[in-house]
Amino acid sequence: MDFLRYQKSVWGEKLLIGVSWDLLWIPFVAAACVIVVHLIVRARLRRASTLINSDQ
Amino acid sequence: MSASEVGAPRHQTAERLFHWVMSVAILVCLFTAFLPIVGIEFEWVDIHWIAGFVLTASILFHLWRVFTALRLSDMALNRTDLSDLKAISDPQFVASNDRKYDLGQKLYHWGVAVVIIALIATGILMTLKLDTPMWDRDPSLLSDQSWGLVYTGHGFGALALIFMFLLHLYFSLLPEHRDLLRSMIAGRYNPSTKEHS
Repeated sequence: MDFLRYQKSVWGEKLLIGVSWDLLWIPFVAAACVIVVHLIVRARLRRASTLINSDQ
Repeated sequence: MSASEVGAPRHQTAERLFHWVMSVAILVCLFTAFLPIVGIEFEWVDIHWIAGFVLTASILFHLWRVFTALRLSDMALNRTDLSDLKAISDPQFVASNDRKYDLGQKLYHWGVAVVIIALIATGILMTLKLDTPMWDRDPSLLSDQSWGLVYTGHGFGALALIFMFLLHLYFSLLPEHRDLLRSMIAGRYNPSTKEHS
């Protein structure tokens, strides 16, 4: 997987032209990971809170 | 209807208008940037830079409001905010309610501010390579290597913005944040429950 895109200039130099769009999936997967972790922590806290409240 | 039923004022009309204009501009920028990359071809360049200018204007409006009508201190990180971290492990934790924004909201705001400012700065430079009603294109403004860095910065910023937009969408649609979402529409905040977020 490439991180950056390059092209050859008219003099044959390697020129940076931007980010590789192969990376487009990363923000979606990263966001999905944060959301899943948040949902797990949230569910655990809610369960613990319910247990504490039912004990009182 | 009593005051408690109506809720406390949270966002003035100008701030709500700013939020939704900025949202539409960001979505137009994202869709016009990425749809052609995933194979949906259309004339996107003019729509993209015009949406970018609307976004820039909305941010300038927000900055003007911050220094004339709002309080920058509302968004400043302080020691009280760090106590919000207890919410990760303490099921009985109740966040301090004497602040307008909590730690997560402040971190998100500053994170997205950095990304959007970087996108605007690189975007304005890239617009100078286009013919617009305001100026003729001038590609000689920077060297090819510098243009490459500008394009790369804009690309990484756009990827970061997708990530932040998805998180914002998720957190704003959580049931316990429904009151905050409503306050961004109606302006008034009437928390029905105070739960972990």
